[in-house]
Amino acid sequence: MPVADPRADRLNVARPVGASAGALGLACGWAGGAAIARLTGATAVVIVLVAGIVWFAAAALAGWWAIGRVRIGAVTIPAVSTQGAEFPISIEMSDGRPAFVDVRSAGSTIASGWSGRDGFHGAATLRRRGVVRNLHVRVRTPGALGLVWWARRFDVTIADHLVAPAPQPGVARIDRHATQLGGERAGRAGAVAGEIDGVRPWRDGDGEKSVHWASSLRVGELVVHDRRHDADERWLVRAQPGTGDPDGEAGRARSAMEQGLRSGADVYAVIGDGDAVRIPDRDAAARWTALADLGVVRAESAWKPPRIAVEPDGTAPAPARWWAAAATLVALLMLIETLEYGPIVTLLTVAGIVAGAAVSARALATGEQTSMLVRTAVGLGALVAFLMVAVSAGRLAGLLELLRGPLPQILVILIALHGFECRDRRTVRVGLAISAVVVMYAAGFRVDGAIGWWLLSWAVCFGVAMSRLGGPPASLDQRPRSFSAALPRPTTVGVIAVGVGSLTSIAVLSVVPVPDGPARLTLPSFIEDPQPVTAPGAVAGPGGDVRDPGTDLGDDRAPAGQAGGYVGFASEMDTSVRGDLGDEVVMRVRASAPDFWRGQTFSRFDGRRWYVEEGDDGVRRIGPDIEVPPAFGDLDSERVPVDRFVQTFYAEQDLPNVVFAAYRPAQVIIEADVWTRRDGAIRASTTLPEGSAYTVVSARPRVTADALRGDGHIGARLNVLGLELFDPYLTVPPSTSDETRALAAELAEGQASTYDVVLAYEAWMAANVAYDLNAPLPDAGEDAVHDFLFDSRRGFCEQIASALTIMLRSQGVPARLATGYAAGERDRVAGVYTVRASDAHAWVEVWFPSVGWQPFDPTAFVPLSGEASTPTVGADLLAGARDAIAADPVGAALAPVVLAIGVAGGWLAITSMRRRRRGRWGVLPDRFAERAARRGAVAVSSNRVRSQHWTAADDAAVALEIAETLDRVAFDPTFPDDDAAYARARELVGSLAGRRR
Amino acid sequence: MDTMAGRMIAPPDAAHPEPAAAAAAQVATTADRVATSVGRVLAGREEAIRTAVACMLSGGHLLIEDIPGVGKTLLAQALASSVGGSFHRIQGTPDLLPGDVTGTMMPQGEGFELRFRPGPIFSNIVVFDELNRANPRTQSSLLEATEEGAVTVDGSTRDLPNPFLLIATQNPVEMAGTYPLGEGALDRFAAVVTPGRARPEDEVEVLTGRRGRTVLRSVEPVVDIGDLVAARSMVASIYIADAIARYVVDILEATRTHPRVRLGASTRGGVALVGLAKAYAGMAGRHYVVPDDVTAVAGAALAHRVIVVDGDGSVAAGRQVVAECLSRIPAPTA
Repeated sequence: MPVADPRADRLNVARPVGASAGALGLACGWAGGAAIARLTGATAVVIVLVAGIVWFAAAALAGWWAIGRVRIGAVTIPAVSTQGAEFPISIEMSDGRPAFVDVRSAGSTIASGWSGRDGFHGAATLRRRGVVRNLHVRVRTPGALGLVWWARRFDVTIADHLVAPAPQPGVARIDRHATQLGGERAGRAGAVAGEIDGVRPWRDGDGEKSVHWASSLRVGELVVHDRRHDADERWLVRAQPGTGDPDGEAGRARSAMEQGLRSGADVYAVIGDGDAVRIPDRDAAARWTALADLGVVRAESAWKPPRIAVEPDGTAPAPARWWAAAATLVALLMLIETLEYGPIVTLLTVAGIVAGAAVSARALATGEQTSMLVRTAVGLGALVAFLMVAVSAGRLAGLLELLRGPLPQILVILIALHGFECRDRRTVRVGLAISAVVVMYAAGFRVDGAIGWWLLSWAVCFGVAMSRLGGPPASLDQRPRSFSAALPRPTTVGVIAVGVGSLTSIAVLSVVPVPDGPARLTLPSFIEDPQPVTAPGAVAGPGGDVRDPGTDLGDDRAPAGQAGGYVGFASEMDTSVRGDLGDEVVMRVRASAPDFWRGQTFSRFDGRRWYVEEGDDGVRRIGPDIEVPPAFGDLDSERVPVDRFVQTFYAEQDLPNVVFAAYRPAQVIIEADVWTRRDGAIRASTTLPEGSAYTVVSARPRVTADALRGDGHIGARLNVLGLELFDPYLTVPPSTSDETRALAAELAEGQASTYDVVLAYEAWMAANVAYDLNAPLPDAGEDAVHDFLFDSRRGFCEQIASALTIMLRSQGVPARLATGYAAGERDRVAGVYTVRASDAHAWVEVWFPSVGWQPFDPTAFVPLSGEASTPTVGADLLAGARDAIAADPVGAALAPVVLAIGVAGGWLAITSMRRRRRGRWGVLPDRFAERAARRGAVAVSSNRVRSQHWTAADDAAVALEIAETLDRVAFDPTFPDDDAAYARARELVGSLAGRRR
Repeated sequence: MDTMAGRMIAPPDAAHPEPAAAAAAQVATTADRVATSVGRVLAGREEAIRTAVACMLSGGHLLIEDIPGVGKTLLAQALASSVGGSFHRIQGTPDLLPGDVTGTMMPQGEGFELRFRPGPIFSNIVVFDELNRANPRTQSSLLEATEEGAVTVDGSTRDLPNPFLLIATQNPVEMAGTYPLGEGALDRFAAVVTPGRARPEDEVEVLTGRRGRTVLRSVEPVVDIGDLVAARSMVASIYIADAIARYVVDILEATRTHPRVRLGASTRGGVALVGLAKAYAGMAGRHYVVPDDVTAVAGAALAHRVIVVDGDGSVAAGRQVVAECLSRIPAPTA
């Protein structure tokens, strides 16, 4: 019995051998995602990409980890085999997980296949005659994730294995000698006992003529003449050296020897004229011909071993196919919901994907081609779908509509069609890569809050499908569940892996900056059903009605009453009116950092109302790609360091034609014309209805406190020209009270710079004024600022900002009021700010010579742009989690509980499913086996053998009782299956659990 | 015949478990008596004795193989003496002829007409000592007897008494002048037991005469032949679940695909294994077979049926292969 010697464990280093089929597709999918991330700047896409990188790394390491744990033991093969004929080989392996084994001898593969739980068992074929002393066993595995294959080679020295030539019919030189009759026969080795002097009992095949009748009568049985001429022959088989075909010559010699042995002759073998060797039996014939040196092989045989692909088995397991279909379905539904295709398309897509998966899975199960009928039906269905798309595509207006309409529809149809033929691992992987691209494409479009859940469900399907794809062929995985108890549960490993992977992803994400928007293109950036604004440069309401200046809104606090109807989006604004702003989402802004989304600036104040600069309709600029020049007071990019800051605005309500932008807008990409005004406001030529989107690229001056302080007292630095130019921003209304001026002067006393003055004012406001949306209205004719500062001391942002502006102006500092929206709530996964109607805001802009207009807001802390740290995706996600916990600590505490309940529910569901399948007793053997496995019981044990692993007296008795009960349940038909017995057994199994070693 | 009856018996009724349990208890009593009686003679070796008794109860024939002087013949004789009924002993020698075993037509009486004179094989228990010293012809004459319970002499078939149990012994070491049993002949034996050497304390018992051959003379039949027949039919009616039959098939299949095996176990081996497992279950007082019954007797039932490459036909190599197969096949638990 050739057995590996201890040197078998001499290990070669693990090395990667290649990637599974379809890995390139996944890499392409990743690259496509990277392009999408560049184009849209969607944080969600970045998260998917980083998670993908981590997953790729884990997939590469999984194989390395798995191959590192493989050890091989004894190699069992027979001592002699025949050239070209299969013989059994088995290799002990330490790891119970499947790996692909490839046994080589002298450079060519002799056996290959998947190893099972107890090692590798396969059929080997050796094609070279002679002695084999070494085998190279190459083991490879992709690990649990099945993407990158790692291999290790073990050199195994075996006891000499002889490869004999295949017996070949043909002419071999045989010298036959008849031995002399007489004394030699008696006691001849191999003679059959009971043969007396030339007769022997009748055997099958003896002819009638050879019966020795005299002896037959005497003995009472048939006796025949012995065929002494066969038995007495001596065959000398001569093998010729140097014939050029030594294998054929050896084969013929072997054939001749076996023939001689069959006919009972004494067989001898000789090479050429050398010494004759006696061949006692067939094994010896095989050995002799295996070792016979008959010269070199003249022509090497043309036989080449078939090349084994990196991934040896191409057929995808059916569960992997279903999980892949689920991933595709999630991706497509995400896309379809984003593009708002409606329920019919959704239903058709679901039907197409499910049908495709069913057809593929069935083909996988039966191994047959899909029937002609099904193929015809699928083809016709696809044709109809394409025609429908073609018909609807006739009404298209432009590229953007194509991108949003028929193109994704064709993609969906193609993906559904692909599903019908998606069977081998490569295709399923490519299908998953496509689903990844679709998910990232949809994530680039989507700006709503559900995106995280979509991504999570897709990731689960994708991950499970990929790990199922990495497994061995389905035919190998036949062991019943209860016997796998000795190996760690795949779910446990999976949960740990997912946890580690998530942490790693967050760690990587924490160095990845939040993506900064698209360079040129916004997907999508068009406007549906706009209302043109008739008056040039005017502010129009969401319905297209021009908001005339001088409209008396009275004392009503809720004149607008609709989202986007904030009073600040008109050419005049009453500080005493805010409106009853609701909580509905007005717009979503994709941006890497928070900022004020400025809509309007106001310069003139009459004590109650603010007015935009009059007599300026602005300059009409033609869309969609519009350069916005610096407005009055803005500094050129050359004179101040700026950061490019991209924002994409998605209108979720019908909005007025105010184009929002972070200060200072440099470029607007919008499917409309705009008027750019001298006061910095931008107004579109149409209203912006729900669903419209536009992108603004701002050049944000890099502002630090030191730079602002360096400007000193601005009022003192303005010369005559400056005073004239900034006159509108320095004018204080006549109604401004002396108390107001006195307060402003008192607070500004002793401050080193205007910046410090602003800070002092803000500090005073924080200390002396209460923020109150229901502040009392000032009496008619009274100055609103005085009323706010000294009488009510309560107010909201308009009043606070107005007071600050007037106080600054009284000190000779150019200042104005700006309205728009505060940044809003950030969705950390999508990287999108959700702006609600209640985020409508007013703040102060102060002009600094070194940076231009700088916003200040006493009611909200916004860091100076130059001092904010660069945000990263990971930090953002963690901050989001922190905020979520801080906002709802009870919910955060309950979440693990809910999760635990969910897991417990899932476990219960699985248990009850198993119970349904195998009866209520089906669960107890599993639990018993699991507990015995913890005590070292091997997986193949019977119940009684398992029970012997409990040694303490009382434990052993309990375990034996359990084993006997379980055996009776399984094998005794008279067992009374009543509740009492079940309850007792359950209690016993439960009591064992508590007593661990 | 008994196995046929076993197959025709319906599984015990869940509503009336008592008869089945009572029958199993009776089997256990019978087996216990025989085993105790044999144990009085043969020191130690309980496992071999149990297997031998199980073989007797299952209706199979028994081959005892071991080196000389460990009590092969003693085990066979003690087993035979413990059971009532007719008993003969045949000593295998090269010149023993089939007629010496089966009986021959002899001229008898005044007309010298040929009458059949039954050979020693016509008895309930036949101990064939040193079976491999008999020539192949004589060995072959046992084939029909062991398989069909009948012998054919001079063209007419004569039934052997019921029950018929053949206990053969052979010595695997001393090869000169022996004729190794062919595969077919070996396959006829339900089980091969190897008693093995006795433990030191047991050897003391033998040497002081408290056990061993000196005691054999005092062995009285503890069960009569009727008890044995009854026990055999009860064993045949012991229930074997499909899962366990499947387990046996898996074991057979494993011996066939084992790389060291040239020829795996036959279906007859499986039948014998099931019979032995049933007997084992009955001896434990159970009316149903559990996987442990199968694993306990698998070595005895299959070791001589697998031809191991380079094994020189030894049962030990077969036993090792069967053990390897058992360690690989998951036992059914549900």
